[in-house]
Amino acid sequence: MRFGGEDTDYVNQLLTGVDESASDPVDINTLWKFRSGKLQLLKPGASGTPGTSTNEVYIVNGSAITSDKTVSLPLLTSLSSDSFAFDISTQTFTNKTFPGGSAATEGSNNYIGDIYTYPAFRKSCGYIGGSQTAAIGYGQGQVGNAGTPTHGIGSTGKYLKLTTATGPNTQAGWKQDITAGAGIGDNPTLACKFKINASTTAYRFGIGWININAYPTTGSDDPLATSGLTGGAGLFKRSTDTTNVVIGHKGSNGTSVYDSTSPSIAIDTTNPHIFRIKADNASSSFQYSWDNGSYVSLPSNNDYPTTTTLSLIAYIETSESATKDFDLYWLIGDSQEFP
Amino acid sequence: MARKQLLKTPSGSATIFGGEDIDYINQLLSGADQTSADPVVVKTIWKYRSSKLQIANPANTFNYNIAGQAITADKTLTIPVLGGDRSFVFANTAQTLTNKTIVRSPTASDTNLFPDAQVMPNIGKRKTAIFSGSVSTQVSGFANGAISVVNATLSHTNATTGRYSTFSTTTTSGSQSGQRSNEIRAAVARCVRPRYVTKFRFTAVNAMRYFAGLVATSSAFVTGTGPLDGPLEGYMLCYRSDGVDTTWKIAHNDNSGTTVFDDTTVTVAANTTYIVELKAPSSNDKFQWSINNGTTTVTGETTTDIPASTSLIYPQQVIETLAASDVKSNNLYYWLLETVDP
Repeated sequence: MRFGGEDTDYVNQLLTGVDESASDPVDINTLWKFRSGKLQLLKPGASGTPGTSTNEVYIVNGSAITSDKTVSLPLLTSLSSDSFAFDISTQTFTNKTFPGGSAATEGSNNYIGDIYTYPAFRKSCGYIGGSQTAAIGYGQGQVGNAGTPTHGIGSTGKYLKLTTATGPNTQAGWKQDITAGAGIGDNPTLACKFKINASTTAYRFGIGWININAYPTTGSDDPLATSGLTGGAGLFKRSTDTTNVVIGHKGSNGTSVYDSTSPSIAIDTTNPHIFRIKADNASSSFQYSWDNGSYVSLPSNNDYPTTTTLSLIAYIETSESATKDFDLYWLIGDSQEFP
Repeated sequence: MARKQLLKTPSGSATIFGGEDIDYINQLLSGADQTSADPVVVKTIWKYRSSKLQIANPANTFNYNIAGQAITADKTLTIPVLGGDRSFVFANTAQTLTNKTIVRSPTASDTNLFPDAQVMPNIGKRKTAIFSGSVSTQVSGFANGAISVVNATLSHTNATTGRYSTFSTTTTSGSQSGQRSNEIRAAVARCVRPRYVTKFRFTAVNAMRYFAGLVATSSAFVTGTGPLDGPLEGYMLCYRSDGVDTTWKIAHNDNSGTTVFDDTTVTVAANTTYIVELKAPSSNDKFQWSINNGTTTVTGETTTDIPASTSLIYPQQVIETLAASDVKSNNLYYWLLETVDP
């Protein structure tokens, strides 16, 4: 074996823009230091002289560190690609946690400036604990309830336990009066953390919006057929649902629809869960989220509330001669104003 | 074509190239580690075409592919001064960020947006009760209407240090003035990460006691030099002039024994505005305290003799006079009690 001039050419070609990736990709296993500003990344498709028109480059600069620093790339566990974040660039963050705390012993040193979210842009109402009739936000004083509430604290949080009387067909729950309702045009969002303590049979359960100031008619497995109820949407468990919950909704055509979820959401009487449902009025779309998962759109060809004003409700109804209860950790309605 | 390596016995010298010298370059480009003998220093612009810069994982089994986008002008990516080893931040990767300042939105100079998903969960998960100075029994949030008071005919003052309500004792020795929750619905427990914050000051600190914090009773104000004797579970800021306290103490106890006192070393002084925070962090194995006297902040934590994880504890603060005909007053700017669902 002998070296020829082309071998030296080959090295020099590598250093002058020839792509040898297919035949001889470079594999660096030696510490390879770039002086600050000397590592450049050419934009895609460019091949000319760096820094010239149509051949723009990213220039990577270090700062004035006074000891060596190790900079790690995260695992990107569930992602095949991601983008670097920079301090000023317009970027949308997802999956970011900004830990709370203000004491020096657990402070995150994150500072978020005054934000136009409440009350300028958003209106909130709901139950966060305490008196079951005292809602926070715009629904203050506009809350009705049923059943006998008690309070509890455990490793899953602080909650209100709502228990029916011995049935059948008695209810316990928390609801807004309709005067505290949100317009569907304001893109309302409902969020609730709850835990059902009943068995998987002989009760009915619901969390959602309805347009009337009443709990659903007792004894019925079509809660959206309640007299006067012309608009509603939420999560329901009817006495006939023994395995999974359903998403119920009803709009202007007057038909109650109960959709199975995909993936299915099993009735769970052991753990608390967080359910969200939100409306995107502009696109006549509804989406729900289970346990902080991504929002899932409901089928687009079914019937949903449109111009209806909706108020919050969470309730349980026993369908046998026994009490049933659920734990309400919080129930929040939020609507968006368009200044 | 391939990166040829002759692998011959060295034929060069100090002044003559041999085949091994070219080998050495090709080995560098083919995975050999020459870090010890000849680490590379690049002083020439070294451009990588898009997706041609790879960073391998430690096992050299998978790579990060660094890809550019269709920029139309050169961009400089600056790595900031770092206080230690750091990780890059990516837009969609689950990461916990600290030390970030997110400026107000919207203004002409920034465009941070906070969609509903970021606002909604905290409203429910983070439950609050706040007394900000008004009717003595009225607080906002989950403790509203669940507050009992003693000797609380309030006066209200706007001062340069803020707006405060004054709780005053009577002239009888042993008289107390304060607020406490009196219903279970206003209770918290260590497992829901309670955070109690209060801002207050006194006009005098002689012949008095003061207690503020979380205690496992909804039916009585604490008193005495051993306020949590009994035993009574609790975690409270404590000052007892008759206990010869000159500095703030943290009084705490579990369900056995007498009150345990920890010295904060922060001096108790008249006409000094204090901001005190008592909290149980998410680790659910301790309480922490923080005292700011307007100049400095001192912190500490307590891991033993503290209320149990699910023991109900209630907010309370009370001032007590220890001298006849000597009214003692607490200028209370606010108190806040916050919990977070796990």
